[in-house]
Amino acid sequence: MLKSEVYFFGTCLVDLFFPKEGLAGMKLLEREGIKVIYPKNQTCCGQPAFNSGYRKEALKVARAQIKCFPKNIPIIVPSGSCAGMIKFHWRDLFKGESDFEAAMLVVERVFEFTEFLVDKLEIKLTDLGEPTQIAIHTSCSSRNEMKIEDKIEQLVSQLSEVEVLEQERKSECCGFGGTFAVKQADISGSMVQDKTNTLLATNASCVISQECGCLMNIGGALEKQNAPMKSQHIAQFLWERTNESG
Amino acid sequence: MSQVKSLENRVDEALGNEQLQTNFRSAMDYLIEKRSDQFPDKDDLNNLRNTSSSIRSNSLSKLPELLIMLEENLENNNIKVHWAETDIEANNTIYQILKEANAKKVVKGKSMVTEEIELNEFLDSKNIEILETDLGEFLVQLANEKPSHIVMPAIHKSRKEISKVFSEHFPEFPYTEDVDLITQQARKILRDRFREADAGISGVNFAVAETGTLCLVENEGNGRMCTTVPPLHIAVAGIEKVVENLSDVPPLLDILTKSATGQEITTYFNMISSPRKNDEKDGPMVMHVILLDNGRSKIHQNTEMQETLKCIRCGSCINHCPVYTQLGGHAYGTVYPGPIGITLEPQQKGISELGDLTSLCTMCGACAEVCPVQIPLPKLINRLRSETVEGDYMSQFIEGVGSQRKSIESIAWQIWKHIYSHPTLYSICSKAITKLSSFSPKKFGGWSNYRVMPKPSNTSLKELAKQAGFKNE
Amino acid sequence: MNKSKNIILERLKSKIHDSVHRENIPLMAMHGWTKSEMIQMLSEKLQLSKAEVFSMPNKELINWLNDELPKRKIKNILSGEQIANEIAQSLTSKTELMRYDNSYESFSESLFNEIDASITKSVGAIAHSGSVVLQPTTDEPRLMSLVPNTHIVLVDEESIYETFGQIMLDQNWSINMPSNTLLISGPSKTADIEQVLAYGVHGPKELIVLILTS
Repeated sequence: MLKSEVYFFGTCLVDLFFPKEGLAGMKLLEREGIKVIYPKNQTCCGQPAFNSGYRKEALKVARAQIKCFPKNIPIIVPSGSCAGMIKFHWRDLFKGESDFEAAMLVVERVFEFTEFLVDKLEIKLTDLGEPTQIAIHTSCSSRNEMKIEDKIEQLVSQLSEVEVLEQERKSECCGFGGTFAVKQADISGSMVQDKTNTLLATNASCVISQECGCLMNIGGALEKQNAPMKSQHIAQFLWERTNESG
Repeated sequence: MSQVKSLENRVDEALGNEQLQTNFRSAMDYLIEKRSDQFPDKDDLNNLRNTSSSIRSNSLSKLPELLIMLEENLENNNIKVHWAETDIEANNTIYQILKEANAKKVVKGKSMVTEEIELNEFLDSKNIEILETDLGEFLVQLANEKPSHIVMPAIHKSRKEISKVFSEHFPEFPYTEDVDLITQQARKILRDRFREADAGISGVNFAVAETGTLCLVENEGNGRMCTTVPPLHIAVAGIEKVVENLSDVPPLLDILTKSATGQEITTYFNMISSPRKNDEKDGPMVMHVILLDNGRSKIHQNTEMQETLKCIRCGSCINHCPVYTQLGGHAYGTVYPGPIGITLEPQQKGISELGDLTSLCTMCGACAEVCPVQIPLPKLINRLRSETVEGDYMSQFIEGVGSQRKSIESIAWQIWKHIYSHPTLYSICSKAITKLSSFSPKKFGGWSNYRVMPKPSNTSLKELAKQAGFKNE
Repeated sequence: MNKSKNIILERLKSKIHDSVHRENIPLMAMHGWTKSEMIQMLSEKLQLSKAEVFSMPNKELINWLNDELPKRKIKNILSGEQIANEIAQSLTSKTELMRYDNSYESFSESLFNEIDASITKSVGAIAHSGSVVLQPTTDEPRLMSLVPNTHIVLVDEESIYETFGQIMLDQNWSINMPSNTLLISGPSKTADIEQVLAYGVHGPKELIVLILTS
């Protein structure tokens, strides 16, 4: 598989709610000498419907992505849960379908963003930013499904001016769970409050994550609480700290 | 409909109860740490999990033969075997045995399967006194409540609450909040009850087919009391509890105690292979075992869902579930709470009644990470979730497939599907959303109670990528 | 009821799941621990569970009993015939040697309300889990190790095994299981009240393990 050229699968959340973060990820890859293609017809991996039990609808949407990635090159996904959806659940979703093989050809080329930077690119980062203290929130999919929680930590550890403060119960779910945040809003609300409590107790200035769903959840809660802590996607964070023009 | 309302109410009640929130948070922290301390080496843990998982899968792949072997060897050991397809049948069988023995007072060890069949309520209705003897269950019974956790039944109660309940029922003892004193008082009371009892009832942790042996774990000693002192012992076991060989027991025992309570081993491991023999001086004269189905054989028929039956009832999934930590056990309204509960119970009782339980999950996967027998709980829960709103291949296995499908939700997903599977349509919609982003709603259901509403950006990533000169195919 | 049995079995037989490769059982593997390592491990684990452990040559047992029983205010001690024969003559302390002579029914009042302590043998011990293994007999019935407040158990140092799997294999348990086998790893305990540990809930409050060397 060629590594000098990649597809970028933005994800539906990033496309509409975190486009700057997605662009930062693409520019970072480009800066490392990778040619990045953003297929114009991509939309969504199907996860929202899949997790709500609507598999027929999820399948329809998932299959529409296949033809966006014809070349045998890596597909970079700036989200552990979307990467996980494709890598671990498309197998169930496409089981028995005529395009099962075609779907699997996509599955085997998917990398989560931080995973690609560390494992394939072996990226070397130089910190150009001011000293700062951050906390890292790793999504459940990145941790439990993809088992790549160490990648974001490795990337941050290369930044000499960044100190990582660890929150209590850092592996506990933030309560997003996709439609769970709407269907069981009060349980989700209680969970995100517990999460923001542990984060704020670190006194870090910012929480970084590889997952936009978690960021929408945690960041949204922090903002509602008028808390001093900011939140940011790892792609944006790395781009800002390692790019000369910032 | 009314089940949905009451789940909602129970959830609200749990979330509004600060004492409960505190109790459960500290209890789960404690149990998580204790378990983790028992598994310092990740490789050793994985090996043990692989072994345990394969032992349980082996049992399920040979279940009918093993049950027949178990029955034969139990009967050879003078332990009478009964098969019960339903909870009602199990209760009636137990009642008949007690009636024939003229048993009026029964003592019971901790057993989730007897909760499952609602044995206590049934025997109550037949005027047979049945007393819980595990300290936690005893206290919960005094308070007229149900256990809130499968391993630590009184975990929802504070010391003060316990002292109050105890002193109300036993005013002859001075009120105390000293744990040692309460324990000693309970010991006195329960020892009398063991001696007066006509029968003892227990569950079974492992039933060994090879030797016809029933294995039980405990720390307190009440289980041994119930299964040794009264003249009659009745054991109730789910049909999935059987293991093939005696040599299957050590690894399962090891991972069970470490996962459940973070102990190397429980104080007592009791292996019973016979009632009192002719030349023996104690032990029950008569022993019976009830092999309970209660939906298990149906679950067994489904290739994907039969992994549910590997469960050894350790409670690890419950302890690590962030949703359970918020709610406690009672909010679920079921016998088994947490991840195993929302997987097992809808399969047993049907989706019409319990399908909404599948919403009590964020799919975080913490449960699957710790399950000692590697049950892929999130995958099973997701499968059940899809059966609540669509799918008909499972209708031969579970009642109520598709019964939770609501038209508004279903229409919403159809619309979503149309937009997201047609790039041109999506393009139009995303342009509209980004252009009109300043009009995006400030509130949306419960989300906005806890967070600001996410605001769509005024350009999409697709636009930004194009502007920045990235190729688009 | 046989109808239920048939219904259940028919349903189970209607679906054959793939049989699974049985993984190696780690607890059957030998660790190669020496006898003194095992004695150490056994003692430490028992002590962690609040059992008391003493090691002594066989012939010192009687001295230990003569010293300790009065010190611990044990006025009587229940024993089987085998042990009674071994110690009755040399027991100088005023401790009364009691016998579980008759069946439980005629003995229960004594057992529950008069006996202070019991002393039993064991068929072995397990270093890995810190457990002693009992297989009650006519001579040493089941309740001896459950009812009295103090339970003293004798362990022959030669009968200490590395793991549960090993004692089971070595002693051929699967050929002939006795009516009751017990692994005992400490005094009775509970953490049901606010996860605070309390001892002597239903079973003995004290477990004393005497490892007898040759």
